[in-house]
Amino acid sequence: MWRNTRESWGAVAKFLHWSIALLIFAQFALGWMAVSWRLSPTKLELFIWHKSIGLLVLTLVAVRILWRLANPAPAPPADTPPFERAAARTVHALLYVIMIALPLSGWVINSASGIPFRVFWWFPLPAIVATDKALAEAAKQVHFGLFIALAALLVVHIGAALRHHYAKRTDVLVRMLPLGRSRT
Amino acid sequence: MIRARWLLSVLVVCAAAAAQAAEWRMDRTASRLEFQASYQGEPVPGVFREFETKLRLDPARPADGRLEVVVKLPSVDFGSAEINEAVREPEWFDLKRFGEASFVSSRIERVGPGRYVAHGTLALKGVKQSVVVPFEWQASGKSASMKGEVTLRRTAFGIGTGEWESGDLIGLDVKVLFDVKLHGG
Repeated sequence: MWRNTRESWGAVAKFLHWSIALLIFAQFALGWMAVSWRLSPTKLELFIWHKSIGLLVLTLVAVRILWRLANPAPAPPADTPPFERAAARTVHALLYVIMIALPLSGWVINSASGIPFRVFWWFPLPAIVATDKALAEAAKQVHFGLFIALAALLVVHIGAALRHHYAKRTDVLVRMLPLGRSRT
Repeated sequence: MIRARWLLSVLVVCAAAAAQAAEWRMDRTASRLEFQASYQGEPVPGVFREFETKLRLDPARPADGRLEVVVKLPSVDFGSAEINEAVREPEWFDLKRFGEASFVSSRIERVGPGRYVAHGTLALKGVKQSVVVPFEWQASGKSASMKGEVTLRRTAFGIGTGEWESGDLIGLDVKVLFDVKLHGG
């Protein structure tokens, strides 16, 4: 129930998958709004939410990777061609890398900008790099580039899940749904 | 004759006292004018890189003293390009209209050994307010230092107007710290 089985994802993996998915889409919206909002207390508050949620995602992803290492993922459907298996493995690996790298690059921006920040108005986030204008600018480019890469990967990820469900009629999507059960 | 001698001695004493009401010039490279603002309750340090201090102070006769400080506001540096840019705006320092802030004392009093208080007026962003500046004084020969801090409420001077008047994100109190090295005496 809590742990993964050979056929389906357990409750913990499902919770981590969907809570992180929800937070990532919230981050897209918050990040976009924070950047484009005129300079005002609202803009700063949007940034505080964006940074706070980013750190929450980083934490959840770290837990998720540990959980994944301790729990084998369900096997792909038996008739999945080798190319698709490799493609799925690559996209999943890249998603994990970006889900770590994206919040980390945000952390670098915040530190290099020399602006203090309390996570969820709760505790101060320590700086991971010294104040450095050039580094802050570079980290912003990286942060934006990673966002584009994540958006592109999510198109592939979601597209592949829908293809499995509607075209190939496998249980790949259903077994990750909160109340979904594997058909086999 | 006796009267004239008495008058002469009074003059000599006065001249000696006047000579001791020392004029001090600031050592620009060694002096620091810093401040500490806050964001989300966390300290945000900054510095004014250009300022000038003129001091007349005879430790024995502080009442005759006078402190005058002029701060070049555009030299403000938060160590963050984004903040430096933002504080130029009319809501903050309004640097297009206000290039300088000044403090001029009306009275200096001694409050303890090596401890003084300058009462005076701070002119900042078109607002003049009475401010009390306590400082520690150390002098040896021709050099001296004055060191202290004073906390100002930014909204009293219109620093952060409109929607920025709330102190929720950017704190209302700003601590100003100075460590001024002087020559003269």
